[in-house]
Amino acid sequence: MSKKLVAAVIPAHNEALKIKKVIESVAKYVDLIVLVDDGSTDSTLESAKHPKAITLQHCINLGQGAAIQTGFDYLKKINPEVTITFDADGQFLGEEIPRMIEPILKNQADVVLGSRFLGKTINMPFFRKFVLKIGIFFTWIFSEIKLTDTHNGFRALNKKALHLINISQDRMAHASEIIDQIKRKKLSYVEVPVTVKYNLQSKKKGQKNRHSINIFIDLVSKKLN
Amino acid sequence: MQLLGKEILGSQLILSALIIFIIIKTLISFNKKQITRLFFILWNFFWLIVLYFIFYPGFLVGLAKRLGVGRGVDLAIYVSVICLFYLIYKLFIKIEKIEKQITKIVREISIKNAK
Repeated sequence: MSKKLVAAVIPAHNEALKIKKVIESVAKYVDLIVLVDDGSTDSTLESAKHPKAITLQHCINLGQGAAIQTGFDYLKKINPEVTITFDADGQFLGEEIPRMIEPILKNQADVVLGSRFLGKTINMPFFRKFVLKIGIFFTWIFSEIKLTDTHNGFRALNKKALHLINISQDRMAHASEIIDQIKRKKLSYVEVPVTVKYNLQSKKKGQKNRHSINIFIDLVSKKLN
Repeated sequence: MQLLGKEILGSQLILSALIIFIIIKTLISFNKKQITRLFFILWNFFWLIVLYFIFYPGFLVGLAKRLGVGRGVDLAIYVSVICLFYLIYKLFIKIEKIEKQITKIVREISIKNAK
């Protein structure tokens, strides 16, 4: 039997400084990288050139949720055995990919979710931890799934999950939406500990704590619609 | 103030000036083809009715009394607040729909131009 295809979706918005390193660290462990440049105004797209990488470009900034779904839509035709999502800001470690995809290769789950609270966190600010815990609580209320980490961009999906999950939340609420769909579409899941590094740039560029309010509003309006 | 043999109140003068301004704006938009003929007719028709009630509020007052609201003006305000809420709701839905369509377009272009 031929080797099972592993693909990674990396959504990126203005990550020219980090993207090269991130792609190189991911490329060692996957067969194909789909980089979705979400309307960057810097040289992210040029910096992302790699023999294993296919680049898709949103001509305007839509949001991380939209970028991930674009990657998923592209991959549906290729139909890889495993699809992972990986953040472009260098917070995750490429060497943890084999551990993330293992439950899928062994047919133990449809979706693997990375959890920084099961794993290691390096330099996580206290307030960030507090906001994330509130997020976990709301996901529990909305989706009735009790997880240890709900806004973690490190995930792995099997073929079934790739075709069933459809992100309609263009912005940051997609993380909660994915969990909601896991529940509604009856996909099986496991959490795997991952390391998340907090550095100065990711604190500046990544999700701001106040974004949690917008995520909450997006989710409530979605539930009411 | 007297106009065409009828006593005119200050409020009636200001309101009717506003409505005439709205109608002129609508006319300009229609000439520039920014709005459809149907919207142009309905919108002007609506404001002409409002204009009528400003000078002849008798019908509104009677209706308000029958509904137990008290004053014709109160009834007009209640109805307009409800209409505004409904309009905002419609706009909200429309914007959501347009956002979805934009996402779809941007996504399809990006997938088509994959490198």
